[in-house]
Amino acid sequence: MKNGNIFPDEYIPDVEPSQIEKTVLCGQRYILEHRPKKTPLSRIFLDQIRYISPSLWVLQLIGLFVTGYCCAFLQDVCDSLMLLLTAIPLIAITNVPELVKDVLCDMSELERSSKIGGGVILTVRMTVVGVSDLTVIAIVAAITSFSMGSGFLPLLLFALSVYNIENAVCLAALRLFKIRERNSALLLSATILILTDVLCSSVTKQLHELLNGSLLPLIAVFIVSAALLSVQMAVFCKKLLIGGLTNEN
Amino acid sequence: MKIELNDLTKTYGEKNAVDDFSVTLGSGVYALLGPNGSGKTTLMRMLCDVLRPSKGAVLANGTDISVLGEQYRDRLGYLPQHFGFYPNFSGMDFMMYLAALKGLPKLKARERCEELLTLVGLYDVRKKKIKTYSGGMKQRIGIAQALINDPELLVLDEPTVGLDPKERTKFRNIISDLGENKTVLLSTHIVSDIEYIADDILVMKNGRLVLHGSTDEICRRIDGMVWDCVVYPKEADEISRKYVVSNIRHEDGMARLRVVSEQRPCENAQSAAPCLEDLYLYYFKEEAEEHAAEIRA
Repeated sequence: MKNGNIFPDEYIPDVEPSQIEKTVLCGQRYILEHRPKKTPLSRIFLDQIRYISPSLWVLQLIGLFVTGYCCAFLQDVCDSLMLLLTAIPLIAITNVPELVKDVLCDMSELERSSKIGGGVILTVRMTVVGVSDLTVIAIVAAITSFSMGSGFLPLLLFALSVYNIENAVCLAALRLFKIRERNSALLLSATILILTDVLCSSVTKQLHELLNGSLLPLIAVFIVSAALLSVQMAVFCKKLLIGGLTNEN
Repeated sequence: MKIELNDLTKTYGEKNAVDDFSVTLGSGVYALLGPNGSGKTTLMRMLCDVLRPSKGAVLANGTDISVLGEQYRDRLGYLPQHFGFYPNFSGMDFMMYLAALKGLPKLKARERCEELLTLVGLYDVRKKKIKTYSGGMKQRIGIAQALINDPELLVLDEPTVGLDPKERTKFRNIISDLGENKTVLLSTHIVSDIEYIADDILVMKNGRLVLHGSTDEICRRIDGMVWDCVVYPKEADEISRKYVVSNIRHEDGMARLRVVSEQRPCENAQSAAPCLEDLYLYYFKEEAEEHAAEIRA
């Protein structure tokens, strides 16, 4: 049935081109007004959490599982120091490769030219990785302290110091050896963690004394390690933001 | 959007990768032409707020882009020369991730990503991992991501690398359409990519802007310097050694040469209308010598 039969008296005029243009402009203005000018921070956090590599969460879970298993079944053969030296590297192994994954996977330029920008993405990523790691480390220290009967604070400070040193060395090595490939970065991270462990294992007696002694030396070690990590982070961020960490450079 | 590049300079050590580069860009397609190492990528990185200039500034509608920050990047689409993806990303994941970084609402983002993947012919493989894509497919998804936020300024660094002739033609048409109401800046050293679609051509050499104008305007600079000649093959070898030859075709035992030279290369040489490729060869003689060597081979 033709329109003419339904509306015999209706006349539909041709649209003037200027009207079409006006309508299109109105539509564009509407979209612009309804698109958030600034992306909410919560949205950026949720997106970064969604896109964090699953391996990071898996290793954190393994770290927790190892701690729980050792505390429940191997309490007689394990001591708190060795337990931390096993769990912390597991938790930390994918940290640095995850933080710099944009550089390792050649996504850096795409991320930095996006609306949110490289600085914000890096900060959010650091926060997500840092907060989740600190939570897991705190749980590991709490479980160990509870089942082995050691003090919580010395264990936490010791675990955080090991964590800081391992991450700082890994960041420095990544920068110095100009590693720009994900698998090589993971391998480097694993090597550094094993070396740190071997080093710590060779001085267990001294470390035991440190753990069982006064808190002050442990606090000092923690502050030094945190400063070391902060310096490495600052150097890394500066390099990244002036564009010195791309694959061509 | 009006983009002004004011005395833009980027120095690495003692070398100026980009040297006092000044130009104003309005709507239209601009092509940045120059050999490898001429500073095209560095310039584009500074334009995209990825690299800070050592001197000078990029202004968007009169305001420095470092001040505008997010507001500027919201209107920007960028295809870098080299880009990667996170392991295990499918085509759709990649697009959705970049849509999130560009601040698109999730529902709108999905719709937009599907639309763009259809445009570049990757909709059917959107769920496949990018690591299984061919070079051309990766380049196409790169082009698609640059368009996610419907940018006012589109910067494309060597966008046609890895595309087959059919894809290249399709891409050229997309760029032509976009150039009607947006600013598109694309860099290439493939002259045929830009000959038909660029409104303005910026020729870069050693980090400096050496020529700027429409294809006709800049080609006029070498009027009377392009020659067509038909010679015996033996003579052709000699001419190839002495002059810049942009093309050799053998027909009926003779060689037809297209020569770029200020002097007439042989007696029967006829003056020909210059094209962009001739101009490129004229300005980049060293690279042209390599090109000639390839032709001779």
